[in-house]
Amino acid sequence: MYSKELVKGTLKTIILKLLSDSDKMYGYEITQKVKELTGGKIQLTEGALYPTLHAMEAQGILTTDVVNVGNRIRKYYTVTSEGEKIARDKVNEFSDFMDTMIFLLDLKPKMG
Amino acid sequence: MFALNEQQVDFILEDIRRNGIESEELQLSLLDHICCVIEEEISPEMNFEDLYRSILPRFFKKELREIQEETDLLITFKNYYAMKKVMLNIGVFSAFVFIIGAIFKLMHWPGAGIMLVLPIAIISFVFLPLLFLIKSKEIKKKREKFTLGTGVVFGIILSMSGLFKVMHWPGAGALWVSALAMLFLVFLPFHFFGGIRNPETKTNTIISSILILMTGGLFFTLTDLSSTRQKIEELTIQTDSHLLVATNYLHQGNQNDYAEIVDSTQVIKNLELQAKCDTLCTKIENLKLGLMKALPAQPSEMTEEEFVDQYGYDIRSTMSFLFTDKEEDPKPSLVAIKAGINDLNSFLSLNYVSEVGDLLNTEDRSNPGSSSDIKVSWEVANFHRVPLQLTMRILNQLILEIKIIESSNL
Repeated sequence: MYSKELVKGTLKTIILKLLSDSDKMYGYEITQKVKELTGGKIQLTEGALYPTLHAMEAQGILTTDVVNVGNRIRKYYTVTSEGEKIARDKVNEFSDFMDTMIFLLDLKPKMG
Repeated sequence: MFALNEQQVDFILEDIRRNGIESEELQLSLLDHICCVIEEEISPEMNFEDLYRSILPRFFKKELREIQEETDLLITFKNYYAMKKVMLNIGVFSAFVFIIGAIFKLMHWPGAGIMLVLPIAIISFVFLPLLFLIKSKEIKKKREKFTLGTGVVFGIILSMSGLFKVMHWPGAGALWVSALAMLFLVFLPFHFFGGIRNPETKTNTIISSILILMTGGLFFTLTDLSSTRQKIEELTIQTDSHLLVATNYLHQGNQNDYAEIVDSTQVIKNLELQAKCDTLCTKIENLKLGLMKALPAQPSEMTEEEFVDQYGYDIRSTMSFLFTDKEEDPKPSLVAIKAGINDLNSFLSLNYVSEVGDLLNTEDRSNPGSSSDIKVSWEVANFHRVPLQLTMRILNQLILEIKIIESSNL
């Protein structure tokens, strides 16, 4: 499992990317999906996930859909078109960042 | 799959509410999440409450409230930047407009008023309150918040007093003094004793306190403590006594001149001139007598505010004593005096060669106080919105000018 600091900087990117790849997701589903996709290496903490989701909703990056599930209400999140653009930008930025980090930390596998 | 019953869902909701999750949106999100986790992990032999207690700590470091705080912070953070941007922009805008307005005011160009009032109002009621909101978010200590608050209130009162002064509205002096009192008695002590305790801010606090003290002291020396009423009264009494001395002197001289002339046609003309001038002067004296009855018996017993409100000693007061209540038309006595002056003028132009003084020229003129070219009547130009004391003086001046006309034609 990666340290919280590492995950924190990429939380928004992860959420936006997952949501723009799927129709709609709810909070628990997002954490499970990330866990499943990364083989448990990245586990989103609820303490960071929900504040970010609510803030992005307030900023108009995400819209929500409320569905009754048994005795409780479930909130499904969908990215807006603005959010999709931000998702693309964030993924590109991060990809660029990784290249830079690989170079900076001299992680490139040696040729030959 | 196991599903939680209504009672259990309510239990969880109640518990997260109790633990400081205030917003309903967040409560519902967390509730669903916790329920999902429990439904995933529970097995028939497990106790629901024990499981819930064991799951909950995964959500926070110290307490559940953290999630609410983090959410609030993230949501307001965006507003915070927007507010800061708005604050800076309107601050720059107001300062810019204010400087332009000040230049207009100096040059007596039209439109200076709005360009001074608008930025001061924006600074006082938008910029400074926003500054308080933004800054108070950054500081934690109550004491510092209080200091900031008094500083902001000081700024508002100070800019208001400047505005009142520039626009000649009453109460500028009182605002000015209360702003200074607030600076010296509240803001400065709190700023100084608050900052000096912390070793990090000690030096800065001492330096800024000295600067504030110096600037404030400079402002204070600019404050004229003698009352406006006193000054105007002294000035008025002085000017009026000069006027009366000159008038009496001319009157005596004129009487002697009338007596010396023996040429018969000249005597008849002179008699008519004397009669016209005397009638006019009597009318003016009567008007003065009527006005003097409006003077307070014992002005010293009143406060300056009461005095100014009631009798308009303030140069800027907007009373028109020689106009009807609605200030639209001059009173009959004033109209009669104007008619008398016109009569005298036409008599003079027929029989004498004479240049009449400014006050005796009853033609419409452009108003010196306004920028437009619209002409106003003699009554409006001299007596409209003029305080009592000044009205009296203009009437005295009028008598003097009549005596001068008499004297120059003898």
